[in-house]
Amino acid sequence: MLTLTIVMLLSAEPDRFLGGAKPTPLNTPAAVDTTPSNQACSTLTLRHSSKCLFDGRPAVMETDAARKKQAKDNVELAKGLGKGMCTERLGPTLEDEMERARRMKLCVEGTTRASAVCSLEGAEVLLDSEGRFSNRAGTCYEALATALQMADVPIPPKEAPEPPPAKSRYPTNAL
Amino acid sequence: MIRFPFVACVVVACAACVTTPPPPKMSTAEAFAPADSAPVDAAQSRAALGAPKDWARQYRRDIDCERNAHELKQHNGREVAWTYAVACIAKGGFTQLESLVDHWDEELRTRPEAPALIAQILASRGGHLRVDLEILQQKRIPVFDLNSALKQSGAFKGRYLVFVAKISELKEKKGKTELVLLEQALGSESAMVLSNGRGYGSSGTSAGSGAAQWRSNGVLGSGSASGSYSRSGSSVSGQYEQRVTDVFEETGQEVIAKIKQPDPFLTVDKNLVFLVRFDGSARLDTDLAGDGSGDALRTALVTLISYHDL
Repeated sequence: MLTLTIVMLLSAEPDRFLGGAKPTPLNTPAAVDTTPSNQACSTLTLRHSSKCLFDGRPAVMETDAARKKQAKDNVELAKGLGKGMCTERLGPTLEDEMERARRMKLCVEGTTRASAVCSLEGAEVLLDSEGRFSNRAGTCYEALATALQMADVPIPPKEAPEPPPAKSRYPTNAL
Repeated sequence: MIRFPFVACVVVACAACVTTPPPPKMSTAEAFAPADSAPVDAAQSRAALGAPKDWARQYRRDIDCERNAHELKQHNGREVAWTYAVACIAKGGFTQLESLVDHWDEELRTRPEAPALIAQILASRGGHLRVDLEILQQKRIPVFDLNSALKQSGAFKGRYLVFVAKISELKEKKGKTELVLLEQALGSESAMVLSNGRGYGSSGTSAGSGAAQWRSNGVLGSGSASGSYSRSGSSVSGQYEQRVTDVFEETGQEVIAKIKQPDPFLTVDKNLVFLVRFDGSARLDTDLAGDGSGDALRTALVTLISYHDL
């Protein structure tokens, strides 16, 4: 009888999508997949300025002392990240040494300024084990991204004084 | 000489006629008649019922199939009867959500195969999710919509959601596959159309052409001219009626769905009903530069369970 029931259950089951998760009854919440998305914001997406989600899972600091230390470490880490990315971003693309040096200076200054918002008050580590940013680090990520993008903008040459307007051949009707 | 090709044509035409004839059309009276309420024969043994799939095939209408599966509870028990009800749904085109919810609410809550069956029914009913989810929730069957889950992320983690979406792209990285889905909402379009067979019409065409030649020794010299015109027109008058068609439009809500393996039937740019488990939500980096209102659209993170054609 048990065999008959099993056979009937199997034959009655509709064709299931094999790429899907194993279904569970509706009456109890199923276990959640907490692994970060492929599209999580990371040092890689920051480097390439690509679209991403804040889905990192960094370690959380429990004590005040740990938070205090972590806040400093996060700022230092952000500074280091910014400097490294400025070097990488401006390295092979610019042939003009002077222009490169000027832009590098501006980029490093920009990312250093941006790092000030990266302490996260020490609540968690800035990056998780795979270099991903969490939701809390969103403001820091955005500040660094903006500073890095500024490095792509060429510095305009110093403005020469404007020449006086050319005299018109026609008399003006001054009132 | 022309006889052979003619014979060949006749043979080809007849070969086409030999194919299986389409099933006879169900009359309106039969389709809308109340369900057959004849009691199930008490002596009908479980063995006599046969395999659920074959048993379900004998019913042309889903309402009769479900009703008879429900009647089986009395003599064969809920568990066996449920397998026959499942066969009614698996046959395809099952739309009797209300009777299913009334007769099988316990099974719908406790059986692992139930969520996919529900999603299949909602797809068969055309994806009118607002109404259908209300029917389910009235019976405390926990299937929810995407919007509710995103508003109370914590409360919905691990719960099942159903929504209509299009696949925007598939992303694979480090052996993990994710689908980017764009949620679609059901709207309607209305159009005024002439009702069938009640129009009066006229049509006409006219055409003409002309040519002229002249020759003169005066200042005009010589020349030729030609011209043509054509005109066609039609006018129809009759009784108009308003027709309303369901259309799906993007809501702007993005969903990232994890899947175990890619599936070639998951077609990009096609509206499908998705059954997913809600894992949480995340903010897009582009939302940071928004209007600062704090109401940035969060991306839903889900695990795909099944999908169904509309």
